[in-house]
Parts: sequence; C-alpha cells; structure tokens
Amino acid sequence: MGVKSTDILRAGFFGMIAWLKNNRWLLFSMIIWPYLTAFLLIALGMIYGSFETYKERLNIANPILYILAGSGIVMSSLFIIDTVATNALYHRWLGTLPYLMLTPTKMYKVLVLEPLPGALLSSTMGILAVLPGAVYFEGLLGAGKLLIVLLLVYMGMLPLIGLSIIVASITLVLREESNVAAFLTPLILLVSSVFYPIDVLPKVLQYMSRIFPTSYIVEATRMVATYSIPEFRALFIVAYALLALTLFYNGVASIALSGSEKMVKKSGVI
Amino acid sequence: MAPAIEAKNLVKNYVTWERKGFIKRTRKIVQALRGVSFTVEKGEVFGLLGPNGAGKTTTVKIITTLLLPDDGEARVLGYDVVSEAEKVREVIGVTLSVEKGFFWKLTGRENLKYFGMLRGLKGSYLNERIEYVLGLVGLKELGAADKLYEEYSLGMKARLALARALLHDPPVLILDEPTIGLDPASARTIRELLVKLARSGDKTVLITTHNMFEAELICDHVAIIDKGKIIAYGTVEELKRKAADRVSLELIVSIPKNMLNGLEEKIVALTGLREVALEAIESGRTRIRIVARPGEEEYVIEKMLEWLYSNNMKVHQVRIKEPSLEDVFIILTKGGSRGG
Amino acid sequence: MTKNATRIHAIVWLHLLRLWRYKFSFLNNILTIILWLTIFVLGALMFIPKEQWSLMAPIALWGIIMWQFLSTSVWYIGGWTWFFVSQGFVEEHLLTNTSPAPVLVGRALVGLTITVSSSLLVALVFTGLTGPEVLLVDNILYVALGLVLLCTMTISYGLYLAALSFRIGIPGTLLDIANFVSFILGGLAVPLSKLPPQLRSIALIIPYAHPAEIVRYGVRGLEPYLGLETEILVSTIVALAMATIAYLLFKYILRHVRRYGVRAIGRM
Ligand SMILES: Nc1ncnc2c1ncn2[C@@H]1O[C@H](COP(=O)(O)OP(=O)(O)OP(=O)(O)O)[C@@H](O)[C@H]1O
Ligand SMILES: [Mg+2]
Repeated sequence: MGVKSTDILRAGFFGMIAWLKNNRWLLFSMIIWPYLTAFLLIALGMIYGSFETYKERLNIANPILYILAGSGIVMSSLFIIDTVATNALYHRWLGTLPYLMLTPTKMYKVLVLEPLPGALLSSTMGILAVLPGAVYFEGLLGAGKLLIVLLLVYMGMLPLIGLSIIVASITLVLREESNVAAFLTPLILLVSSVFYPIDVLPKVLQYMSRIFPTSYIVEATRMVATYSIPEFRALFIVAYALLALTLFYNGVASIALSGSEKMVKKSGVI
Repeated sequence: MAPAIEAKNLVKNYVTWERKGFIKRTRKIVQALRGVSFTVEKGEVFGLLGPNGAGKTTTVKIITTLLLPDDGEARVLGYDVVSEAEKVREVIGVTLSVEKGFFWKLTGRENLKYFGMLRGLKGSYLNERIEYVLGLVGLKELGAADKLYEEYSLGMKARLALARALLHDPPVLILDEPTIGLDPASARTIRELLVKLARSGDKTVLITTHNMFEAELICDHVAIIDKGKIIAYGTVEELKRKAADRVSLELIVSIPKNMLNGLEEKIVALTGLREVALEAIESGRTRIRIVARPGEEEYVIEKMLEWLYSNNMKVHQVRIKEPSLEDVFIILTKGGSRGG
Repeated sequence: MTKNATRIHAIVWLHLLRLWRYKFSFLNNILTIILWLTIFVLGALMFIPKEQWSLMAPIALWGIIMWQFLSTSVWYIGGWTWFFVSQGFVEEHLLTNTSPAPVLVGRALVGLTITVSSSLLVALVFTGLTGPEVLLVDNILYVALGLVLLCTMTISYGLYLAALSFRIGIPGTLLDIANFVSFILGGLAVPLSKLPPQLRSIALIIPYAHPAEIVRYGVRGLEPYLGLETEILVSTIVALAMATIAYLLFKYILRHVRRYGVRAIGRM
C-alpha cells in the first residue's frame, strides 16, 4: 500500500486551504451561522412568547447561551456530514473515484482521512464562534463549558463520519448528481432535539434519537448547561455511548461502502 | 440578390476584469475582432478557419445576433443582425457548442420538441420535422432518439445539436466547430450531411473549424482569421497556390550535443534562407525544416548534405513536401513572411 | 400571438416534465426543508405558554408558509439561473426569439409545487402539536389575495437575482441570510403590531410585510397595521412596481448581455 495516512491527511489539509481561498464566504458563514440561527430563534421566541416559559420547559440556567451552543452543535454536525458526504461526490465529479475503487481498503481510508482536516476545522469554527458569547455571559466558566462541548463534538465526529460514509455509499448507488440523502442531516438534528425537550416528539422519533450521536452530544450539553458543575459520571456514560456508536457506524460503513462499490462496478455508473 | 451572409469591417472588444487579490481588479481590453469582412454566397459551404482565440466564435456570435459588434455591420439574407435580429434568428440554424444547451433529464426528442415549440412550431408539422431531422443526423439509426440527453455520447450530442439547427428548416446554417471531439466516422457523417444540404438542399453553410483536412474536404471558400483579422480568403486551391511559391525541406539528422548551439544561425548562413526551424525528436535525432523557393531545393539539399557529412553527422532522412492547406495555415498564422 | 401561446405551453411542459424527472431530488428538497423548519418551529413554540398556542400557532404556521414562497422563489428562480447560464441556455433561447425571463418565471411552478407540498407537511406537524383548529381560516379570499400579491413580489425578487447573476456571482450564504432576516423583519412570521417599534419601522419598508398583514387578516381576523384598505392598496402598488422593475431590468440586462456576452458565474 503506497499511500501513507499522513500523506492523505496532508492532501486533505491543502485541499481545504485551497477550497477556503476560493470560498471566502464560507469562513464568514461558519462564524455567522450560529449567531444568526440563535438570533432568529430567540427573536421569534420572544415575540411569540417569553423567555421564562422557555427556561421552564427546558430546565436550563442560561437559555441564550444554551441556544447559542446548540446552534454551534447544529452547524458543526451539519458541516461534518456535508464535508464527508460531498467529498465522495467530488471524487466522482473529478473522475478519481474509479481509481480509488481499485483498492477498497484505501478507499475507506481516503474517504475518512481526506475530509478530516476540513471537518475538524469547520466543527471547531462552529463551536469556537460561540466563545465570545460564552465568555460574555459566564466568563471563564462559560468558556470551560464550551470547551467540554467542543470535546463532545470531536468525540461525536467519529460516528458521524461513519454515518456520512454510509450516506455517501447510498448516493453513489443512486447515481444522482447531488446529495439526495441530504434530508438525513436535519432528520438527525430533529430527533436530537437541540432546541426543545425531547418529549414533544412522537415516541418513534424519541427511540430513533438513541441511535444518532448528536443526541448524546445535546444531552451532555444540556447537563453542562443545567448545573454549574457538570456531573462527570454522566458525561462518561455519554462518552461510552459515543464510542459504541463509533464502532457500530464505521463497521456498517465499511460494509456499505464495499457493497455500493460492487454495485457501482457492476452497473458502470461511476 | 443579397448574399447569404455579409460581414463588413466587424470590430469587437471585450472588457474583462482581472482579479488581483481579494477586492482589487484591473480592467483589461481584449481585441477579439479588428475589422473582419467576408461574404458567403448562397448555396455554398464556407469555412472560417483560425487558431484558438482567433475570433471565430466571436464572429459567429455577432452574425447570429447574440453579440453586438462595436463597429461594422453584418447581414444575413439582407437582414441586419443588429436592427433586424428577430428576422435573422428566423432564417438561421445555429450550433454554438456541441456539448451544451440541452436539458439533461429530457430525451433528444423531447429537447427538440421544446426548442421547436419555442419557435412556434407545433402539432403534426413539428412531429414530422422532429422525425425527419432525427433521421437525417442519424440519431434514429443509433437508437438514441428516446434516450435521456445525459446518457448521450459526445457524437450523439453533436448530432442532436445539428438536428436542432435544422429543425425549423432554415436557409442558412451557422455552425461553430460542429465536428469537434467526434470520432472520424461520426465527423465524416456530419460533413457529408452538410455538403449534401448545401448541394441539393439549397442551404448555405458557414462552419468554423481548425481542422484543415475537414476544410479541404468540404469548403467551397475559406477565410483564415488570426488575431481578429482575416488574413486570407479564397477557394482551397487558391490558398494552396499562395504557398506554392515555397517548398519545405525536411532533414532528420543525428547531431552531437555540442554542435547544437548556434546551429540554426549556421544553416541560415550556409543556405542564405531565413526560415529554418529545428526540433528535437525521439532517440536524440533532430528535425531540420527549411523553407525554400521552388527550383532551389536541389541546391539547398546538396549544400546541407555536404556540410553535414563533412562534420560527421549522420543523416537519416531527406524529404521534400508539397504544400497542403495546413501549411498555408501555419505559414499564415505563425510568423514566416506573409508572402503571396 | 399563437406563437406566444405555443411558447408558454412549451415552458410549462418543460418545467413540469423536469419536475417529474428529478422527482427524487425534489422529494429530498421538500423533506429537507420541512425537517429544518420543524426544528426551529418546535424551538420557537417552546417560548409560548400553552394557553396562547391557539392564537400563536396559526400565525407561526402561516409565517412559515409565506416564508416558503419567498425562499423557493429565491432558490428555484434565482438559484437556478446559475445552471441556466452555465449550460448556454441564454443563447439557445435568444436564438428562438424567446427571452429567458418567461422561462425563469416558469420555474415558479416548480417552486410552487415544492411550497405547497412542504406546507401541507408542516401543517400536519402543527396539527399533531396543537390540534386541527390550527388549520382553520376566517376568510379564504383575503388569504388568497395576500398570497397572490406576495408571490408577485417574491417572483420579481427572484428575477432580480437572476438578472444579477447574468453579470456577477452572488454568494449563496448572502441569499440565505437575507431570506432568514426577511422571516422576522419582512413581517412574515410576526404581525407588525407585535414587533418592537424600531424593528417595525424597518419592516414597514420591506414589501412582503404588507401582503403578510392581509394574509393574517384572512387567517384570524388580525387587524392589519395600516388598516385593511390601505394594506391592499399599498401591496398592490408595490407588487406592480416590483414586477415592472423586473421587466425593465431584464430588458436592460439582455441588452447588456448582447453587448458584453454572458459572463455570469452565478452563485458560489
Ligand atoms: N466573453 C468574453 N469576455 C472576454 N473575452 C472574451 C470573451 N469571449 C471571448 N473572449 C476573448 O476573445 C478572443 C477571441 O475569442 P473567440 O472565442 O472568438 O476565439 P475562437 O476563434 O472561437 O477560439 P477557439 O478556437 O478556441 O474556439 C479570445 O482572446 C478570447 O479570450
Ligand atoms: Mg470558438
């Protein structure tokens, strides 16, 4: 196997830099989005009703900060799934996919590692953008809490990448130009119930939420937002859940990828 | 009677902005056409030849009313392309690009139906025309008429583009590189069709191309355009005669590396001819090209061989070439004295 | 005249056929829109005390429906122009003596299909949350009038974006942000009378706020901020003005295209 992991990572890093250069707006939007969505939600909520009601319903100490952090999580997850899933499509557009397919193990490695720098950067940006808000509201403690959230997002990234590769495999088989499984992202976020208590969802969706990593991130974030000192035991349970999901999704993803690879090779749609 | 197409002194400058950093941009003017004039008579196949960026597409866009000239005028069947654009569009069939301009998720037949309807064709007449042109360009034969456009090969796309140009039975066809990227057989089918349309169908055809072989085969008249100016006009034979006062000699020689320096000047001095070109080819050999006047060739070869042998250089091949349209093209567009 | 009828027939046929051929993509789009909207709507509803849901829920629902008219116009007309230009369709249509404008307006059909189907689904979500009363409407005529006026405005806006992207690239993020901001500031989500005074003065100059007030009058009889007659008058004049400007802008841009060539990059 000629290609080293570090080479792929480096290629991914330079690809990301070049891409950011040509899409300057993107960097800007990464920073602006959490604030924009938080602003929208809060403004709408205040006009429709009151903050007190929201505080009670969600049982959290600082709703503004919580909503900001929640938006950060939403954006980060969105960026991660998008980066990984569209990366596979890019390979098809560029015509490099057939080359990758010749060696399936390498293909998996490339699909995971290449978008990693971009995913890391965008999710970090999504959370760090909220930092000024956190410091403003809660000082150093707020910053500390936010770092815990960032850590959780990093842990959640691993299962999300597996999930994205499953999505990418499906898209490759469906021979569509755009990411037709795009609706999965908001579905995952919907059942993760960032902005509302999970009990407003139908029971089916509540069960469904257990299989998605973002649900755990949100849950842990809410714990951090509820008590001034987070309960570390609970956080560890979340960490284990994420670990289990990592193994599960990446296992399924490698099977899905080789399956879709076979189908694509057979039907010749590359 | 008005000629089919008439261009008089067309001038076109493009303004472009060159990005220099995040916000800074500088204005740049590209002189695409610098006074282009030519006439295409009814019923002929006319070739507009030129290297990349010469201004062929720009000329085509002006004649097809898609672009306004900065100066000069053009008429199609007597209609002015600026003030009577609608009339012009009714009498021309155009292909701009063989790869674009169709909807991906529609079949070839559906695409034709759409563009036919936009021209106001409808009902059984439209269907008849669609059937006819699909047959004419050979898409039916290929079984591609009801395939989605996204599944078309390049050759099918080119045929469909031609079918659309023919759909409303226009008297004048203006085709920008209609055979680009096609395999020899497809290109030949399309060429034969064009000639047939001009000879028996009473249509006038203007094509642009940089395929000289194609131009030699089908064009009644050719104009060569370079850097926005027409630099030669005539029948293929007439143009070849322009190059008839020159013969190109070609020698393939093994030359030691240390002799290569200044070799060109030495040959110029030796033969008294200025048009000398050297080119390294495979296995360390060098191709020497010398342009001579007819009658001089024997003398030049003798001189060269004598000199080469006396310097212990090995000569592998000596050739004398008659001019082809390609030579004319190269002579006229890439330096050399613009004689004739 | 009959030629124009055939043209319109062609354009409608084209868009409906393409809608059908791209059905999975459109389905995906509809689902995506609904899910995102639901995420935010559920969040916003958490601010409202349960006893006020019966009034606020229909306002939120219709706010979302109206917002969809706006965003589908932006994406399905303005956003599609990028594809239209890059595929050389501007030239191909001009060659048949057809202006690109009606072809782009025809895309509103696709936008409308998406808006209607996703609105039905969102309405379903609301019914599940607050009960079927949320769907009741006081006076359907005013709702329809408001929506027609709103559509005229949003389609014109979509055409402005289209005309612009014949010449320059418009960053997609910018359009998204403008869309989101219009949700509140454009008076789509919130009755003007409920906005804080400073925001209200901004909302009053954003055209969409006026037909939105008419729609809300039709839905729950909420008195429009400027009074019903004035709102209808203002909305009609503004809608006609916006449409006229779109028409003139396209005339101008097509002349520009003939002089300088199509050099659009579209959205990023
Ligand atoms: N829209 C435009 N804006 C700016 N410059 C342009 C534009 N279109 C063409 N040019 C420039 O005008 C010149 C002539 O271009 P044109 O497309 O007419 O050449 P061509 O002969 O068709 O070349 P090719 O054989 O490559 O198709 C070129 O230098 C080109 O870069
Ligand atoms: Mg060209």
